[in-house]
Amino acid sequence: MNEFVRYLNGLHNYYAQNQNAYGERNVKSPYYKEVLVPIDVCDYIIDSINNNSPHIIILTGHAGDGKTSIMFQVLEHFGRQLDPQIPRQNITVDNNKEICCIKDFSEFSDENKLKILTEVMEYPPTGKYVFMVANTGPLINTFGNLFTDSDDSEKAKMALIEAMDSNDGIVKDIFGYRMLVINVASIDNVGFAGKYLDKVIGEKLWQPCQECSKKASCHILRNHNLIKENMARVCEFIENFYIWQTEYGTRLTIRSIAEHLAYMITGGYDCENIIADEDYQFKRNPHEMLFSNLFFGYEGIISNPLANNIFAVRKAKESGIFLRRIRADEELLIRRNYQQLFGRDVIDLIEKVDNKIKIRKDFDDELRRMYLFMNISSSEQHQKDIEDIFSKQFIPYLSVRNKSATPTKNQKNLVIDALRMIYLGTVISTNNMIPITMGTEVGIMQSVQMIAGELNTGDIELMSKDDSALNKKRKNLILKIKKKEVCHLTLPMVNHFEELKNGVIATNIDPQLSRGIENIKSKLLELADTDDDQLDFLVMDNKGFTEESITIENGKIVLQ
Amino acid sequence: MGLEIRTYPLDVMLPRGDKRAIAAEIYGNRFHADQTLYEYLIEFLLIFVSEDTEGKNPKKSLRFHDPDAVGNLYYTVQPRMGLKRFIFFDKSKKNDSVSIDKKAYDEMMIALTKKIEGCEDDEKVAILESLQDLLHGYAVVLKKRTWCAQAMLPLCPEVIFCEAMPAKNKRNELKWDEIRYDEKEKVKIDSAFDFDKRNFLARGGELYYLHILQGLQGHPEKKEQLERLLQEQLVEEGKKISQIANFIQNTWETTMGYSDHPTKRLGISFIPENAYKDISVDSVDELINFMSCRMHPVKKIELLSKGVMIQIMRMLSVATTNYLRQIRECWIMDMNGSDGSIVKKIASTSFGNVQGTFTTAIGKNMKDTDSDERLKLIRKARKDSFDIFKSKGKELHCIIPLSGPYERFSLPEDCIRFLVLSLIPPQKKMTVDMFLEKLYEKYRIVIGPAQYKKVCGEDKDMNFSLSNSFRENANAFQDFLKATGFLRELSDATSIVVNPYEELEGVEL
Repeated sequence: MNEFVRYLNGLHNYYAQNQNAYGERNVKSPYYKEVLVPIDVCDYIIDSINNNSPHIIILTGHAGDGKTSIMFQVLEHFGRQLDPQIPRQNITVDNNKEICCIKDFSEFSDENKLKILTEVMEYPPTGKYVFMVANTGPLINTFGNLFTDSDDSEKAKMALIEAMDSNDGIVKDIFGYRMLVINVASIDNVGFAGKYLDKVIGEKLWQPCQECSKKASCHILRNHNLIKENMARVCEFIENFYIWQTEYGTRLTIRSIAEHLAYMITGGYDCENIIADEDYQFKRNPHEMLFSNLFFGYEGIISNPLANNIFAVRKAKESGIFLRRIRADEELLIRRNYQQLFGRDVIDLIEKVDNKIKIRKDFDDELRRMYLFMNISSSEQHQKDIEDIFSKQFIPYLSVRNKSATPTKNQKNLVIDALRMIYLGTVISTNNMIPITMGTEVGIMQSVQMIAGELNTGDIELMSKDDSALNKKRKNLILKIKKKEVCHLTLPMVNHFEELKNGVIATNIDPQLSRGIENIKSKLLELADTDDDQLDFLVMDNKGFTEESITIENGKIVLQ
Repeated sequence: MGLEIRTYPLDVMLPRGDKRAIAAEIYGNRFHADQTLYEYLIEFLLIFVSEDTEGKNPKKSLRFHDPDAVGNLYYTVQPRMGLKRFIFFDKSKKNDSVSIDKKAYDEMMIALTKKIEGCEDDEKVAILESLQDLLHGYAVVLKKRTWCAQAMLPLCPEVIFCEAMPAKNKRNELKWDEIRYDEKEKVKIDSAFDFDKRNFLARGGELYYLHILQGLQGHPEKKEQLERLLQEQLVEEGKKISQIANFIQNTWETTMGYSDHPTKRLGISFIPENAYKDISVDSVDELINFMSCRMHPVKKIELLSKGVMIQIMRMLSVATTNYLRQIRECWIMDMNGSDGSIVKKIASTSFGNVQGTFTTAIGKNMKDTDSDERLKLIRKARKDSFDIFKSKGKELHCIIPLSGPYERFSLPEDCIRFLVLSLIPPQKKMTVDMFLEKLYEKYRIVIGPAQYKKVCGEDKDMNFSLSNSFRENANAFQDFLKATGFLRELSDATSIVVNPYEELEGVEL
């Protein structure tokens, strides 16, 4: 029996009972330290306490973002431990610095919230630090209630909201109070997945399994072994997948990631279920409970509705990423050339699959799920796989986002081509200029458009920039024109540019994309070189476009 | 039936014995069903860009009237029929065009060709065609109308055309050869139209203008700011189109040898003094916020036309309840659109209530009228109030479905966009809860449970226990805001709505 499996099952919500999921419960578990992944923001807070005069540190963010864990880690650094049972404790650290720690501000009644906040806000001038975890809503409202004048109250709330939104990691005066507001929700956490999985797979935690009578048939141990064997590919896929999801609007919290990964290994089974069941090994074919299926909420070829209880699993299933056609399909699904694609253990599993299942279309999807996590393709083929699974632009985008790479020439050319497509309907051009037109989106298609200005492609520049002081590991891809920042190019936008370049006309594009493009168009209009004396038009016909220039002077038109 | 109401502006001459009296008493003179969505904005801007030098309430071009003016207000329009002919004549159906317009068009094209230098004749024709295509590309109201009644997106003052109806009989009598060189008569080529029929620019935009003007009373700084913002949009952003438009119209006028620009002075009617007063400052502030956003000028005008319409729908709704001395009615929005949902049913009932209130208001003072006449009058009044509310709501997609049962309020992308940009100043933000509250306070829009609970407190027919159904509705709204880039999540419990646009420089409040 391996107690760690029980711990893992306590993290997820498969049976809607995740006892370890809440911060304070989790930190009490003996396994908590074993799988603890240090979070960078802890160093930031430690520095702030060490280097700044007393102030109020507020940790806020989504439920499950690891706020409690961050507080425990920070205090641990100072050699102190917090009692999870006591909501408010005073702790003295190095240099006799006194910190009032509030484990969860939201736990107090509304009346007490106001009382406590009124009290602790006065601590910094008396030399005491305040370190509190607080949900955003109650904090904003209570902070507003500190002020009797309704106008002041509203302004104070707005100032706090502004600080939470900007998340710049600066200790600042917010309506008379020195505060450092850290919103964990906007800190990139995809790097957590790989580190966490690495800890979870740690050999020591799985030693009890070696004594188990069911070790040969246990799917949990098999998943552990397969993940370990294919660790690099597994981590890479999971991180890429989470980045993709985040970029497309589904950001997982630390708790959701832990839930997802825990479920992916156990499938909701405890050791008791397996040991007590004498027929366990006959009931299920080994391929069914593979982690590659569980990750997407499948058991074999069957979609498991119970797994939808786990948010991250549901989102993974909905993404349908394993349904995408990839170039490797030919080897995988047509030639069935498993020897080239998988390691021995995976091939053994595939061979054991019932023949009736093997001929089903759904099995192709299952094979693709295996392939995503456990292929042994060459790095050249792997590159193609990532392009097919995510997008052609994903790898260069990722290099900028995670590795601070300088944006490539190809990325810049992509932007130029996309702008040409937006304004001219073609990427072909004979010169370096892009006409910026004043088009309409309603009514009749405009065959002639006014050119409001021109943009020299030499003025277009891409650069990478820190997301924020608290989020230095994440870089944003920034479009600059004439040295001025125009916008942050998101992955969906870059992918849309790729489609535009290839002439894919999306009639119903995402509203966020349309607003993004509209924003670029409006900024370009401002930055383009204009000639007030000259009138330029773009005349489109089925052969392409021509540009015409005229001037109107003394009641006459002169063709330029 | 005459009208006996206090008007804004004060002491306006009231229409006499008019069938429209019922609706006029409630909403002012007048809303009319044939006015299209864009024509409300066009008419509003037409008054704004026009000047009036005669009379006791003069106004400058690109300025508002004095908000405290007493008596009738006027504005003088330049119909610019030459320009209008250039843009629309050749591209609209020919069968109802009058021969004199064909001649005028041909003469103008010859004159314009002569004004082009530096190229061959066929190139000259191509340039003129390009200019026509360019301007016609901004057409917004074509329908099956004759060329002179068509309309363009109001990008610059010159293309904000007044209404011109063909006056066919009058025009058929005009003989080109007889009047072309007749100093006195030739102006009829451009002036023998009906400029004051009010079929399409039917005064709806005029009422909106008065509504805004009323909101500017006592706020000279807002008047100044709004004027500057509208000038920026129409003069600065539209200057190249202006240049072309002026060239064409001036060439035409010179060719014809007109001594002066043909003009027409038009009178503005009135709104009941208290119909919209309590929301007029809100409308002004919203308009200022929206106009302060630095965005693509064409997109801005397109959105503005929809925003003006939403504000007009609010005007109609507010005037109705004010007239009945009732509290303002709420608009319960169904943001999910899913079949069989509770919110869908409640929203549908709410829409039914709004409709019922319109009917009650219209019928209120009709008890003494004989039944046949009464029915006719009610039908007409309904057509010029609720039917506009409903049909424009459907055109905006804020009343769904287009046809079929369960008619109810909803908010599509462009309406949400206008509401965000008009209720939140550029670069500012607020929590979603604050924004939902603001929508309720300003528009009585109900999306979330908190607002529904408030409605339940006021309306006994609403069921308090159903308020939780609105949670999903609020979530759907939130998802939509997120998808359009107006929402950022601070945490799973708190999100903020952001107006991401920069503020236009030099026009700070």
